[in-house]
Amino acid sequence: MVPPFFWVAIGFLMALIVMVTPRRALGALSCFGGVFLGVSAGVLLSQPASTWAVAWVPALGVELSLAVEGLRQVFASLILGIGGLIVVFATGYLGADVRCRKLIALLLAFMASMVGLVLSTDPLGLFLFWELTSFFSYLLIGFEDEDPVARRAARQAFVITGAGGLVLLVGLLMGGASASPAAAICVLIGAMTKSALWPFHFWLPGAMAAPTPISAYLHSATMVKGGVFLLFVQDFSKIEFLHPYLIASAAVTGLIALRMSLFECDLKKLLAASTLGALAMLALLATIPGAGPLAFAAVLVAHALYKGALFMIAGGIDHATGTRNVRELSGLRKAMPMTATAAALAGVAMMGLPPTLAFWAKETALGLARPAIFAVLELIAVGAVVVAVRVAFFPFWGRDCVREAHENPPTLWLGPAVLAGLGLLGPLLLMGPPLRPFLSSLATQSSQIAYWHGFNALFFVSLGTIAVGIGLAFWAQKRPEARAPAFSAADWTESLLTRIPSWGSQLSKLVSGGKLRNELGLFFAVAAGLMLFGLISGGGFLLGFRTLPPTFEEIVIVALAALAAGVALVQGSRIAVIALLGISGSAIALIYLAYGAPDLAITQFLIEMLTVILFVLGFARLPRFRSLSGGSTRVRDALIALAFGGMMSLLLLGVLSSETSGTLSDYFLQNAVPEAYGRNVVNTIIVDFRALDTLGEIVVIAMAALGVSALLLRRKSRSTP
Amino acid sequence: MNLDQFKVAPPSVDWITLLPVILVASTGLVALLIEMFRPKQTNVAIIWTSLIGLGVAAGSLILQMGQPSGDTFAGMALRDPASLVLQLVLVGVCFFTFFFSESYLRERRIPFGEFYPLALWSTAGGMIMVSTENLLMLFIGLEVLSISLYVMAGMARQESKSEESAIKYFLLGAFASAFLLYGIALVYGATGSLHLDQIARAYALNDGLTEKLLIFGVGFMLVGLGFKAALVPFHQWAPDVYQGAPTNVTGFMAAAAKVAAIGALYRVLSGAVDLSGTWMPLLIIIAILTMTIPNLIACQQKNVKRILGYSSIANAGYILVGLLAHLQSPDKIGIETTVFFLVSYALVTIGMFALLTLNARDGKEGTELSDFYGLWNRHPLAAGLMVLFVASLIGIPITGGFFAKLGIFNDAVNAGLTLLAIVLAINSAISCYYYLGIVRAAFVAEETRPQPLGSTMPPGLRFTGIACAVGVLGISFFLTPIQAYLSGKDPNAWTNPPATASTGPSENLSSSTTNPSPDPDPDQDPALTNPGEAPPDQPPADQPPVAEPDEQSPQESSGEAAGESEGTGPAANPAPSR
Repeated sequence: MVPPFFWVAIGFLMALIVMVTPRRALGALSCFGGVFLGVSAGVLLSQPASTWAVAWVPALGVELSLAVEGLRQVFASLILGIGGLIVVFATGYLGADVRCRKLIALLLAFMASMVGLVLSTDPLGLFLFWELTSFFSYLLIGFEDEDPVARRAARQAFVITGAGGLVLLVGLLMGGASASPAAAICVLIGAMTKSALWPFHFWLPGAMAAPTPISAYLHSATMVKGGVFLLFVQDFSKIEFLHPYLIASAAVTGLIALRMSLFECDLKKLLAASTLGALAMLALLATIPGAGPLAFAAVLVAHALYKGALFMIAGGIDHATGTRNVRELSGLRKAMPMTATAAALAGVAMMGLPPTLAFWAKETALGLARPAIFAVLELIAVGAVVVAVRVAFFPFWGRDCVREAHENPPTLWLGPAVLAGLGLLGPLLLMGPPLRPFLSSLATQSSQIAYWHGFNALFFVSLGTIAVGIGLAFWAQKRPEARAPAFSAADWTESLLTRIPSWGSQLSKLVSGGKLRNELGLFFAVAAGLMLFGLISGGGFLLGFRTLPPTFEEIVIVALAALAAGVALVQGSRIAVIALLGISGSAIALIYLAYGAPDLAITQFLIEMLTVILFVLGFARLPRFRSLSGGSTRVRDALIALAFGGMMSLLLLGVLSSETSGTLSDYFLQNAVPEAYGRNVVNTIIVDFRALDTLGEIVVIAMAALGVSALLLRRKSRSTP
Repeated sequence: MNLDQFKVAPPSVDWITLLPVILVASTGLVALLIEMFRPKQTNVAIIWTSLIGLGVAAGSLILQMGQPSGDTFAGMALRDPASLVLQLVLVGVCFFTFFFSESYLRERRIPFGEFYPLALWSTAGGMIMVSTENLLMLFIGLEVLSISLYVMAGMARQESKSEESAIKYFLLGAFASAFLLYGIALVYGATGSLHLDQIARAYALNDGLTEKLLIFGVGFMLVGLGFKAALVPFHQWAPDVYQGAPTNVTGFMAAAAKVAAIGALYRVLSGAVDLSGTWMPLLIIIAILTMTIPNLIACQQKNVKRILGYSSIANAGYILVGLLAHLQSPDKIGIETTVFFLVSYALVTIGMFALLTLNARDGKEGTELSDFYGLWNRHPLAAGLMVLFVASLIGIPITGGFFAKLGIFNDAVNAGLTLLAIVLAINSAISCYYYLGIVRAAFVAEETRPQPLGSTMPPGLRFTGIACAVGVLGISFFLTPIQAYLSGKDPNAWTNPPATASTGPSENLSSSTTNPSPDPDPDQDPALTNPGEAPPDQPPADQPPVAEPDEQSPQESSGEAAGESEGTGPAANPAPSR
């Protein structure tokens, strides 16, 4: 038994090997690698179920755990197998291009991440590999890095799927889809972004800017299936409240796919349209209770086989003729017989005709569906038929092509031929002995392996679907002029992305212009707002005052202080402002005096004088006030000042009306004489009880004086010479 | 009333607890003396003295890690796991800053020897802030931290930008300090004590006015500390100051001031957790703004220092989310992830700013985005390191940044703050835009200037960059021991792998908190009832010194911590790398 991490590791290892391979040996190596991967896929499918786990950061519950079982096993094996074919195809497709090595290395690294995504059973590993696939998808879509369209498409895909991944992480950390409705919604959004379900569908057509091997591999066969795979693994069939949304989303996606399949002319865009349809179909299948892994795996594998083949065929046509416009292509079957055969096989599968695997998968899915889902599935099937006819048959039949064409080398048609052949032979393989027991383990009661359901109603409905599809395909091909689809979601996202930086610049202008004045203003405004919030949130507080009538002196002093402050506001000279504020402060000192606190009053006077002197010293060298702010700014500043000052006043009044405990002063009063041997209590406090504090204060004042004198003396010595 | 309560015996002093701060501060004094008498105007002696002093301080911190928690000096200095780890981070930040500063300051033509003592004192201030529950000490620490920073920000005196940033920082900072002090005064008025654990007692009185005063007091303190931590809307100084200050100062400021401010915020909010009904909604709004606004603004900036300035504001928002998650349910969610984020953030910040000094030449600093064009060709090592640091800032897996963000995200979800978790995730996505812009400049864009910038990488810078890179990559392996140490659990518990694959992280977290510890429950009760032993928000497993049946435990935790210090790197052996 091979340990499960091996299947993840081989992709990364091979990518490393490719990185160091000389360019000459690349062709041979990739052929060998392709065969190796094909064999690996087979070996993986034959493995017994097993798990593997390693603790990484136990404190966060981060571990890596992989499991090889059931649907995971089938999907991983599919990824490896198609990966092998794509590597061979890409070597032929890019051929002489110097970037071929880079492309193959990226493809292999992507393959490893995708296998990791499929096999991971823990949330973090799943998220890690999920984002890794998004990242490699970004690099691969933007592979033509000179092309602005490709860059744009790459960025868009990355933003959508990457952000979806983050939302998914939220959901997974909340315990996964089954834990709570919110978590289920998060997981659903993540899955819908990855699988390009409406309303996140629009990145997928853009992703067709990638080279064809990449479109074939990432954007049809594997990566986009990651989302619906997650829906299945997370058991969305049990989360019923989301089913209406999922069905609606699938229906809209199906309609968009049908519309695109009728109006697009680019081969790859057409295929992308039907990929959208197939993804919607898989999403619906994940909602059907009891559908079981077998039906899901069948649809998934069948789609990957024919769609991978058709993408490679489209790439081959592009390579041979230089165009992908389906209206310019016809009659290629003579020039490209092998490609035409492979295309026909894949086309039959895509239309869902017997005896292909796709037929059986589609019949099983339809058989399980309830009416609402059934209708949507039929809609999707019609779209698939239209695309199948337009891509797989129209380019090869009809009158001879106007363009020069030649058959491609085997590397370009071998892959599609193998895939299409597998699609055709799939049912035989299913019946065969090696796979039978394994598949039986996947089957549930309602989806047994029954290849032929007989001529029942379902069969005739399918026939009708195919007929309608073929008719529509002819109409689309003969339509006089192709209208450009009004496809705005992608443009809208793009403009959103380009607008984020400009929001940033507007925001930065709004929030700060770099002016200290505005920043201070905001600071105080917010502080005032906070205070208001604090005041309101607790229901305010009571202000309690003794209501004595004010005396004459009090009125005079307060009026003086207020008058000085008011005049200071409108003064044009700094010195005058300082002097007026000094008056205001001195008035406060007078209040102290009036209430019998001469020591405080003295201190206040001294400080006021000192401040005025310091200010004058500092301001003497500054220019006069100039009027730098307009009227509205002044009004704004005045409002902020009023609000802040008002709140502070309220707060102070509140503090004043609270009761203070007198314990400390009692203590000092009682102990001044017995402990400190002094009758002046203030003095004993300063020089005895808190002598160390006083010492510290003296030191601070001395140092401040030293500093100030150093500054002043330095200024003088510099200015005199 | 019994007046004898005011007669207190002289406080017992546990000098070991105070030793690291004393060491750092006195190293600063020695360094200043050397500066006065230095021969030949070279700073080498100052740097080596400082590095040795910091190394010894780091050693004294590491050796304390096995010691029991507790406070000393009449409750003014505190030793607990968080304080030790945060102090170690601060010492480490200072240590690494010194390694790359000299070559940069010489290129900028501002090789003032005073830088080193100022940075040392600033570090000491920060260390005081994170290791006290006394409000006065907190204020003193903040001022010691800040005043040195004001001076350092204006160190490039010939440049008006530097001067502007210094005066702006000083003026706004003065107002912030005033708010903080006013808040402290109000809290003191309401509780009659400067110790934070008295807030809960005063709140329990259920007196309307006291509560009101507490609300205002805590609110003012939040304004002051929010300014220091650069939370929106008190962040406006940050981009200007970060851009204007010399790059090494900016790096130091971004790492040290943030760690100190967040540490202090943690203490204050933990003390005021009873009032969380009032401040929690406000802080949630502030956290959302702090994450979103700078990220949007940073998208259109052209100067890397400015971009990183905005990025550091956003990071403060992320940290705040972790802090709020812890405070929302202190029993369930520990502070460990937030501390881990700080460790990881400090490493990346120092490393990143160290790399920005690379372009300094002939007095110019060269931190425009265009100055980094073609860095990959000039300095492959520097460009590679830069990618690594940017990856960690974005939060790309296997870097420390990823696990740090993941932890905070996890906590937010578990605490029921899902909105914050989602905003965090969205902002991580937005921040890719400008972070990747830096990478693009270094790798994709072609060199544009006619005369390329020099191509030598000073050895100190090289050492700092590589050490931080090793730390950023290796730190995920130390997450579990750090968490175990911070939550006071047996550090060996992490070797047990989590139960099964299907259990979500939340279940793992909760299961690890209920892990059977060697001590049975009865031993934990005295720790809770013992006043001054542990604040109520501390995890209950904080083991009392009396009941220590497992002698192995402290030694092992110190061993783990020593191992961890190789990641954060303070000075176990600086010499060989030089």
